[in-house]
Amino acid sequence: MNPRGQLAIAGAVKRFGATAAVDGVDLAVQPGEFVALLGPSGCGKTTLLRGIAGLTALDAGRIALDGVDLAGVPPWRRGLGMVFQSYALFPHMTVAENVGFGLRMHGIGGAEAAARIARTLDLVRMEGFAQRRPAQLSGGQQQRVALARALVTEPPVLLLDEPLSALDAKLRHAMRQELRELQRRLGITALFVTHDQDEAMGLADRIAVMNRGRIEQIAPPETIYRRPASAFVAEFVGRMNRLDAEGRGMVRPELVTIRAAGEMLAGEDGREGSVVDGVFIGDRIEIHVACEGGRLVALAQAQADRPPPAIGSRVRACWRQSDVLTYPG
Amino acid sequence: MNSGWSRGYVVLAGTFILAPLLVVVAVAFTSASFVSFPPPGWSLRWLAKVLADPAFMRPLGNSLVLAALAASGAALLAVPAALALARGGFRGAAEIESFLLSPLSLPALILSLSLLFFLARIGLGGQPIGLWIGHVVVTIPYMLRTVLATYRGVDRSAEEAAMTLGATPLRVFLHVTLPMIRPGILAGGLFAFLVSFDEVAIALLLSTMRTATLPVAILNHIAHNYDPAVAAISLINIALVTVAMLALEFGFGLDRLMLSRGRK
Repeated sequence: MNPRGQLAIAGAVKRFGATAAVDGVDLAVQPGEFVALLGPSGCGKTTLLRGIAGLTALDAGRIALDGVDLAGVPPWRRGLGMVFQSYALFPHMTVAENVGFGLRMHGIGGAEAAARIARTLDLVRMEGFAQRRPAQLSGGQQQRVALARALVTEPPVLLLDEPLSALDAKLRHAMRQELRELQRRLGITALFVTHDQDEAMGLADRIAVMNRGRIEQIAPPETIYRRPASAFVAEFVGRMNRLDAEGRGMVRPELVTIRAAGEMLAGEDGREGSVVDGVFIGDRIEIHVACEGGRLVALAQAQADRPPPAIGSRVRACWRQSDVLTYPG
Repeated sequence: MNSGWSRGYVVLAGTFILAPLLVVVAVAFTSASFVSFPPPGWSLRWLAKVLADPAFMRPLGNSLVLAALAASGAALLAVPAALALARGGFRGAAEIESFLLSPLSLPALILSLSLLFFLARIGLGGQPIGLWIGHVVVTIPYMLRTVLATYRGVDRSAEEAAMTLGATPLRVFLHVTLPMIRPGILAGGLFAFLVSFDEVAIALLLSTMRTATLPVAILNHIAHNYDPAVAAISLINIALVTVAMLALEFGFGLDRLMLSRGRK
């Protein structure tokens, strides 16, 4: 494991004109930890990442890497690896030259540089492409090269700014897995910006959910999903049924059970309504029920021997009272 | 769209543009001692005369040197300006861009008159450097436009990536920015060179006997005598420009330079 790579952010603020893009963020990332910054566009996640890289100057706050304050340290002396959404490869250089750039800037050349370039290209499974130019590579290959370029100097922390969002869905999924395995193997600290909750869930040890420049909750994926700390987190991560217009009470679709009208178990709450849609999605079926207080969605296992309720039939959508998430309006 | 008609149109337009040049080329090879078309016979005497005549060869040398210096000067001033303007983020960027492009829309004669008075006032009247300043002013817009277009078309996060990899701003410029905008600089340099090589108004007012450029020498010559030497020197002029264009075409691909999109 890599003993380096502890990141401590305290009171980070960045304003653009009158609006605060980052509005008082505290975040501690442990060595070897993979943290995702998750939030809608404009929530300040990318600004925070750029602040850590030194590409955007923060207005207030402290960023420390392994106990060393980064205030006033320019990006070229921070020694952090960064991967960009657009890959940001150098179009006029070969793959090997791209990967070797960081070494060259640090005065490492000759046989050592060649060996490290080869080793890092191996790591991202791009060993046969050293002499190609970026324009001759697919999007996924370009992003691997960008990853190798960021890793070759063995930085303590890897910053990733939506690195997978320019790839198509299938490739994105495969790259996600690869990235996770690579990060574990190297034991490098990783901070990953994304607006895609599946990506955050699938990658991170902990997710920091950001909204309007603040972190609403930082916790492991399961906690974020099961015990969201705010109504925003509850609705941003996963699907959710609102039990009232303000969202004071909410329940996850998979915790809603469809019963016959009038039926209900002890400890349950429920609402009656008529089935408006039944959507078959492979192993599961999604049943939409129009109730008085609005539409409720139930997600149930699809069972071949039990056909879903017919559209138009009266049913009762039930849930355990203890499964209801409540938030002050 | 009828391809027969459009082909005919292209041929017609091409003829309209090239025919006068073909007349000049033909006259350059005339055996007569006066300008006439078609020439009564063929000879190389006018070409030989012009190539041996310092009254033409010195201005030709002046023009080549001046064009190269003007293009270099324009690059030195316009490239940093283009980078700053494209990065933006400061007040008045749009106004500065318009100002730097304004020599394009200013009548050349007005500009050269202003330069004549201004340079005389600051003690540079009749100096070769004044001529150079004038040509840099009129070539800056060409360099600025092509470099701006190129730089706005490249992925600038590559510069940030270089920075995070340990490159200081100077090394980012040398290793990343400069190679990315090179097509724009080459295209802008070619335009600047040709504009300066062709420029009449400023050269007419700001050059001296010693620094006269080729267009000035040609104008002087036809003011006094109208002989095929003018056609011969024009032919040399056309040949030089054509060679420059062909070299760029085969060296870098003129299409790519003109479109200024760079390699992405």
